Amino acid sequence: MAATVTLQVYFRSIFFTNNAVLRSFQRKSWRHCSTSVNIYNDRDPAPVFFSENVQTILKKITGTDFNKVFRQRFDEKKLSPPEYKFMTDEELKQKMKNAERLSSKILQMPPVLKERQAISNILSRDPAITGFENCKFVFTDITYGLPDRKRLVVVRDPDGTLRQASWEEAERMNQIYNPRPGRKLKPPKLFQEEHLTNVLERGEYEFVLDSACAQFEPDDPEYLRITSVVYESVDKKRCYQLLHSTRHYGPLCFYLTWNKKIENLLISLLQQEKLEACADIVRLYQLIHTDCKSKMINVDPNQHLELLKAYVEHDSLQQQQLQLAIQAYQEIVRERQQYNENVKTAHGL
Amino acid sequence: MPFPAAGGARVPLRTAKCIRFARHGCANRPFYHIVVMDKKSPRQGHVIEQLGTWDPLVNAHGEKLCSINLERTTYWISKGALISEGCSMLLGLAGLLPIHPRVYLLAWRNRRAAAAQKVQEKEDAAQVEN
Repeated sequence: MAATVTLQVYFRSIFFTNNAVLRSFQRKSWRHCSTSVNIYNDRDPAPVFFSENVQTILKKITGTDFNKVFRQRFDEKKLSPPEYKFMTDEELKQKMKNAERLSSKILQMPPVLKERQAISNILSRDPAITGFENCKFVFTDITYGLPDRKRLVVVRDPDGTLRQASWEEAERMNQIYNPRPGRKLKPPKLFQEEHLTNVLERGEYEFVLDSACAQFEPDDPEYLRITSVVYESVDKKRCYQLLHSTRHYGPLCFYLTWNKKIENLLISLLQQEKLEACADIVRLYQLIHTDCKSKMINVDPNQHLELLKAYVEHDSLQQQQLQLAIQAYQEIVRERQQYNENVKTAHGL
Repeated sequence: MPFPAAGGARVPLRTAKCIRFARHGCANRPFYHIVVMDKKSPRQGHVIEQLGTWDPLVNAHGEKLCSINLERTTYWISKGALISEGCSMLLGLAGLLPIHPRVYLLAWRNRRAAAAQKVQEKEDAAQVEN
């Protein structure tokens, strides 16, 4: 039920990005590793993704930086000048609450689903009408109030077979008879391999992900391929911050955790001294991979550092690098503490 | 003031209604609406209700497209609306009605013509060789 509601709302929300913002965040130094495309097709990720614990963790790590969530977007909507108002505390609180509600709407994550099954449903065969026409007949039911997924599309092939239309045909018909804003009848060239690599090199991840959301259904193999390529690219260049406070951060973390590639993410978070986020991701890892070793050892989930260390010791694939990162983090924290104490003693407190 | 193409004409009592095509499009580019009309009204007359569309030209993917509002079509059929031959051929291909005998007839004729052409081509080839 929760899945369907999320899907419906997701289909309605389409956002485009401000490329200038993305560019300004772009980092210069790349670190290249091998890339591989992983698509969710062996185990179904949907029940895990929609489970309550995973959703709360993903929402928490997405973060709500209002400056980023409500930033200027060039999405062809008319701009309005900013308003300055005097408000009482209560009014301000109310406004903040409204903003939070709106941001949770904007930050709704695209669902993570398994690759859909091909349709091969033959309704009837009538070889006696072979030769009637050399083309296919496509019939679409345009009854009002039907959701696109339940709309009946049937095809009469030249050999007289009446079958249910394939996903591609049905989507094309839906776009013809019931067009969606932001979706094109023919997928943009952006999603072709040669153009996609070029765009990803420029670091416009959010733009690609938003366009993919608008163009494809979330269980379309093409959508899964594109998101996977983008996530791999983000992971390769370690610019997770570009997607922070956007609706793609949750699925990104989910993807990396699902495929056991969270080491770089953890190191990057440790460098930004976000220990709690690290612990959340380790917790997510334990929820997704229920048979992992670090889950067997009962560590207090409120002890972030302990949780992280347990993960590094038992499940991590790059132990040494992570341990170094943890040491560096601890060093920085210790030094800062020392510095504060020194300042205090210098002030004679 | 004419009614819109989507329908709106008065539903006359005790007269035959018919599901048939109304031609839209332009010269050399036919496009049809599948509509319910009074049987005796002209082809471009007032429409009681539009039930779908029919594009008889093949598109880039090698398809002919037809859209039908199945709910309303079955309603009008249940009300005893007549169905024109072209429409019933189309609805037969869609699987809503049994396949129209004329479709079988045309298919058989086409197959026969294709077979005859094949034989003719063979004979021509043999003549060229001789």
